[in-house]
Amino acid sequence: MFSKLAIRNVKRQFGNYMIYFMTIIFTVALLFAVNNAIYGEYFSQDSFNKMFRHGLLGIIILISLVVSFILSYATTFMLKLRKREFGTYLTLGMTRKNILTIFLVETLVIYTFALAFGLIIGLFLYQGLTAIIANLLELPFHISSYSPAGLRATIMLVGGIFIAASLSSAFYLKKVSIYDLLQGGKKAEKGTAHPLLWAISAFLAFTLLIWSSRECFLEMDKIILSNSDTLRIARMLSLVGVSIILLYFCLGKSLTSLLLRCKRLCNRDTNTFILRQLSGTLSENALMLGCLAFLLTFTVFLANASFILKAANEEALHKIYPYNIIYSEDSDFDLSTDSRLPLARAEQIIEEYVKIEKKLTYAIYTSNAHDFYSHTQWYDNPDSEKAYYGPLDYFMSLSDFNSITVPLGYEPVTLKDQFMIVGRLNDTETVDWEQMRFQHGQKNYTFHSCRMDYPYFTFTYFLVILPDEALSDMQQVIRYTAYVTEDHPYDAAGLKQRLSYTASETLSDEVIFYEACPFSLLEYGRIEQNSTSAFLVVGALYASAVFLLMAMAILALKTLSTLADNQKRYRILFRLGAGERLQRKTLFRQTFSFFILPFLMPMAMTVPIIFFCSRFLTLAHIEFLLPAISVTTLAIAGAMTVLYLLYYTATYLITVNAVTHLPSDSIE
Amino acid sequence: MKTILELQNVTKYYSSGSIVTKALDGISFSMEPGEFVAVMGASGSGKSTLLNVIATIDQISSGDICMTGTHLQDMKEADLSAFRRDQLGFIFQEYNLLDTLTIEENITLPLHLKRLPLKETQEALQHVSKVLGIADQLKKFPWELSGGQRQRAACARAIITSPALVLADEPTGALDSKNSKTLMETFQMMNQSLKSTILMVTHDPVVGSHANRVLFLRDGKIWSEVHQGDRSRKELYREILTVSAALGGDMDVF
Repeated sequence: MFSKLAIRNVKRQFGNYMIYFMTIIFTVALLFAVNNAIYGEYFSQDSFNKMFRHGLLGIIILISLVVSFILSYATTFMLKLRKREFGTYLTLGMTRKNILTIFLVETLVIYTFALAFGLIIGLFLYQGLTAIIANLLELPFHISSYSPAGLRATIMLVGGIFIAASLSSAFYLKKVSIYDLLQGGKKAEKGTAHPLLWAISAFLAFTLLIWSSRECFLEMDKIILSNSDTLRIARMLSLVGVSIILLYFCLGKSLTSLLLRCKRLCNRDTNTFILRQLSGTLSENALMLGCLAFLLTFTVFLANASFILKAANEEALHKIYPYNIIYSEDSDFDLSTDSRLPLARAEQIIEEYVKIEKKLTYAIYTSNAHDFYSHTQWYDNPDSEKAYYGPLDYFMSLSDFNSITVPLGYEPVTLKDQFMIVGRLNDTETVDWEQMRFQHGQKNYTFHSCRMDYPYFTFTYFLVILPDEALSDMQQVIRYTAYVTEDHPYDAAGLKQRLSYTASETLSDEVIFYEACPFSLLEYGRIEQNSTSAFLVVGALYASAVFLLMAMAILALKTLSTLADNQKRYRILFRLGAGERLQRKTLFRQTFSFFILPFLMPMAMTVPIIFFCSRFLTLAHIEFLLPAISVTTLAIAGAMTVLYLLYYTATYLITVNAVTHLPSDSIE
Repeated sequence: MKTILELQNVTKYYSSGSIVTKALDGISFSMEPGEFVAVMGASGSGKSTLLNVIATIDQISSGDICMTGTHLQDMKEADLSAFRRDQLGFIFQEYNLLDTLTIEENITLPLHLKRLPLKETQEALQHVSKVLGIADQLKKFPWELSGGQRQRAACARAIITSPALVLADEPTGALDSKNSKTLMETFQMMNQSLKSTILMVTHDPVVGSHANRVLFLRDGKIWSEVHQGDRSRKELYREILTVSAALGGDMDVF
C-alpha cells in the first residue's frame, strides 16, 4: 500500500521533483562518463595513463563525497517541502517508519529512473569526454566501448549517494515534531535587526575582498620572480574565500532592508512585495548564498587555472626539450665502469623507433670559479658559518651556442669581447650584470645582454656565453649530442626503457641502485605532460561541472520550497488587481534576484581572472597565449551561464505554472 | 440613481469529466450606489461563485454582469486586472493580508499597483488608517495583530482606492462575536460615512442583519430577498431567521 502511495506521490509531485531528478540525472551521467574513462580499455593500453586514471579515481571519490552531502541536503529539503502532507499522515495514525518508507520508495523510484536516464546521457557524454581526453593525450579518437567496471562503479556510487540521502532523511524524520511538520511553514520572518550595521560589515567584507585579491595578485609576482612564501598566498586565497562568504552573508542581512527604506523605489508596482519576499529568503539563506558564491567562484578559478597550467606546461615543454632527443655525458665518464649502452648502439636503437635526420654537438665548460654566481642571490656570504658558495660558473662557446640556436629559428649572436647571460630562472634578470667585468687571460669581457627566451640547454640557473677563445683553457664538464629526428609519434616509453640502464652510487658506504637514462626524449616528455594536463583539465572540469550542478540545484530547490507560500501570496495579488502579466513580471524579478545573487560574484571574477592570467603569462614570457586563455575564460563563463539559464528556466517555468495559473474557487 | 451593479440571467456551469454542476442558475439583481447587500445561503448554494464572478475572478457561462456601465464578460484579461484594481475592494474571511508585508505596505499595495504618486498614497493611507483606527499599527506585521485588527487592516486596503464596490467573503468567519460586532460596525461606518457600496457573503444572520438588503440563494437561484426599509436591525434579524427557516433550515448556521 505504501509503495502504491509513494508511486502516486511521485506522479503528483513531478513538478517539485523535476529539479531534483534533473540534478541526479546529470550527476549520474558525469559519474558514468568519468568512471568509463577510468576503467575503460581505451586508455589502459598506455602505461603513462595509469597516473591519470588513479588521479581521476581520487577526484571522483572526493567529488562523490561532496555530492552525497549536497544531495542528502537536497533530499531532506524535498522532505521539508512536503512536511504538512507528512504531518497529516502522522495525525492519521501512520508511524514515522511508514512515512520514511513512503519517502524512501519515492526517492528510490526517482533514483532508479534518474540512473537509467543518466546512464543513457552518460553514454554520449563519455564519447565526448573520450574525444577531449584523446585530444589532450594526442591519441587518435575512435568510438570507445563501455566498461562493465565503470558501470558497476557508477551504480555503487549512486547507491552510496542514495544511502547517504536516506540516512539524512531518516535522521530528520526521527527528530522533527508533528507540530513543526504541520505548522512549521507558517512561521513568518520579520526583517533583520540592525541592517545598517550589516551594511557596514558588507562594506568591510568587500574591502577585505579587494585587499586580499590584490595581495594574491602581488604574491603571484613574487612566486614567479623569486622564491616566495607559498603559505602566504594560500592564506591570502583563503582570505578571498572568507571575504566572499562574509560579503554575501552581510549583504543577505542588509540589502533588502536598506532598499525598503527607499520610498520612491517601493512606491512602484510590486517592488515592496518583491523586496519583502526576498528579505526573509535572503536573510535566512545568507550563509548558504555566501557558500554558493564561493563554490561558484572557486569553480571558475579551478577551470581557468587548469587551462592556464596546461598552456604554460605545453610552452615549457619546448624550453625543457629544445631538440627531439638529447644525449648527455659527463666529461669524466668512463664506459668501462658504467653499464650504459655505447652511443653508437644507442643510436641504432633510436633508429628502430624514429629516423635521425641530424646530429649536433655542444659542450659546457667551467672556470671552477664563482665570478658570475657571486653576483646572484644564490651565492652565500663566504663569512657565514654554513656558507654555500653556489654552483660553479658554467660557460658555452659562442659557436656551439649559435650552432644549436640558429636551427631553432633564433638569430645568430655576435659577441665582441662581451659575454651574454642565458637565464633559466626569472631572478637572473634582476642581477645587475652591466657593472660586471669578466677577466680571462689578457681580456676583459663586458656585458652584452641577459636573455630569458632561449630554451634550457643544460641544468644550471644560468649559462654564460663567451667567444670561443675565452674557453680555450677551461675545463669541459658535460658533452651533449642533440638529435633532430623525423616528426611523428612513436613509442617513447618503450624507447626510453631500452635506453635506460641500472646505475649505482655509493652513499655512506651503502650502494644504491637506480634506473638511469642519459637521453632526454621530447616525445616522452610530451606524453608525460599530456597525461598531467589531461588529469588537470578533466579533473578540474569534472569538479567544476559537479559544483556548478549542485549549486544550481540548491538554488532551484530553495526557490521551489517557497512555492506553497507564493501561491497564496500571488493569489492575493491577483485579487488586488495584479494581472497575469504583472504577476509573471513580479515572479521573474523575485526568483531571478535570488538566483542571480550568488552567480554575480563568479561572473564578476572572470574579469580579474583574465587580468590574473595576463599577468601570469607575461611573467612566464608566454604572453602570446593570452588571447587563447581569454577565449577559454569567456567560454567557461559562457558554459556556466548556459547551465545556469537551464536551471533557472526550469525553476521559473515550474513556479510560474504553479503560481499564476490559479484554479477556480470551489462552489459554495 | 445610476445603478452600480446589474446582473441579468447569470448562469455558471462547472464541469468535471462527465459531471456538470449548475452553480448559478439565472441570477438577476442590481445594486444602487451606497447600498449594503448581504448574500446568504447554505453551503453549495452558489454564494462564493456569485461573488467570484462579480469579482471577475471567475467567468460566467451565460447572462450579463454590468458594473459602472461596463459589461464584465466582454473585457480582456489585462483590462479585468485594471478593473479589479480600480473598481473593486476585497475583504476575505482569512484576511488575505500578505504576511511578508507590514500593515502599511499591505494597505498601500493597491495604490502602488495603480502607480499613484507617493504623496497621494501617504495622504490616502493617513485617512483610511485614521478612520479605521489602525494608525498606530501601521509598522507592524499582520501576525503581530489580533484578528479584529487584521480585518480592519483588510478593510482599509479594500477602501483605500475608493472602489465602486467592496466585496466581502465571510468577513467575520475567523472572528469571535465581539470582533464580529466591531467589524460590522466598521462596515456600517464605511457604508454610511464613506458611502462605500458593499456586497457581503455570509451565513451568519446576525452579520446579515447589518445590511440594508439580504438576498437568499438556494441551488444557484435567488430564492428570496428581504429589505430593511424603515425597520430596526432586530426586526430585520427576525425576518432573516424566518426566511432561513423557510429556506429549509439547512443553512450553515443551524
